[in-house]
Amino acid sequence: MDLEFNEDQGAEEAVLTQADDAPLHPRLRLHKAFKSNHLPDDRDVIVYVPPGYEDEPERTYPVLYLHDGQNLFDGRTSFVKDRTWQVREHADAAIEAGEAEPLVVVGIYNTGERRLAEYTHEYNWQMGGGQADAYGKLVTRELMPWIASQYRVRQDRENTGLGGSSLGGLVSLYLGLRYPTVFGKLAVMSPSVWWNHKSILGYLNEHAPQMWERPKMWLDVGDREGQKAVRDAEHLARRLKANGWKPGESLHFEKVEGGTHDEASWAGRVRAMLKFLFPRSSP
Amino acid sequence: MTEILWNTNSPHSPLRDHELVELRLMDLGGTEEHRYLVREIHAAWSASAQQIEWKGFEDAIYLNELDALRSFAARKNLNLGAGFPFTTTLN
Repeated sequence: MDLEFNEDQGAEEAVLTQADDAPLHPRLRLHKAFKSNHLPDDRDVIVYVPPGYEDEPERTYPVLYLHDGQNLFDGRTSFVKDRTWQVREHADAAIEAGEAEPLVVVGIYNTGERRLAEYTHEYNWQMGGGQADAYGKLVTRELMPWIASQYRVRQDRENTGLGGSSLGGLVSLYLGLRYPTVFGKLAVMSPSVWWNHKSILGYLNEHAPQMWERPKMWLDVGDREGQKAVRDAEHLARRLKANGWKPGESLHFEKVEGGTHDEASWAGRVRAMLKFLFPRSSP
Repeated sequence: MTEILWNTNSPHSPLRDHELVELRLMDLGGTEEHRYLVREIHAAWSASAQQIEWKGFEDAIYLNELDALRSFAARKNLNLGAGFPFTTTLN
């Protein structure tokens, strides 16, 4: 493997040119070992830029931050080899079809053993966890300013999204409620509502009344993810509606037919999610 | 290796809420190519049958043990996120 490193503001940038594998797509940039003052582990960050990014140097773009970054683009790093969300392919297709606004997507790698801790908002006496606040500080206070210094991204809430699946869906919902002035769009896919006796539902009920604006939210679950997972997602959708989210406007809830709890299924939802959250404003 | 993944470890939770996933890793052997099977089977309470019913299964075949173990771990991790965090190891 041949890696070129440039140290820059606490993160090492690398363009992956693996001799034994194909190089990363030219519109993907891998930044190695992003450091944080809030969490102990370094983590890689992978960034997708849309077609034409280099041709329009004055243009700025909406940005979507996604968790589990190693499962989004590159089959060599995904948890199940060669199974990814295929975000680049789906984003390219949505943009080129005029369905979605050209956008930048930032994939934040999880840290393996500490994934569960970082993606959960409350401590559970049997499973631990509860470090989502520290993870939120990493995202909002460290990573987002750094991304804005390196890429032409818009920084207002209307143009900033956060998303993930499973525990990544849970932490997206939590941080979206925690930072409503930062994130205007949320992709909550197959969320782990079950965590700590569904405490996220109580958090939603407590915080939603205090929110001036509700983030636009994509919520989904596969109908083959288990009875409880489907019921939990339906419960969450009902709570969102009761707290002011409007179906078709600020909320899209979908039970995906044949949908399962894995990367292949989430890949099939990416394009529609982008179309809903980042619709093309003009043809 | 067989593990049962549960959505509860509470002995007092009602059976009607039970769902479980069985994960198996089996060495299939083979005279020409050694093969390993990772099988995932889902089961859930059926209101109509008033018992736990096994549903469909998914198989994946691997030619080396490391890939099979990685797949097993990946399936286990995905199922944790799906709400099956408690494990019983059978052997």
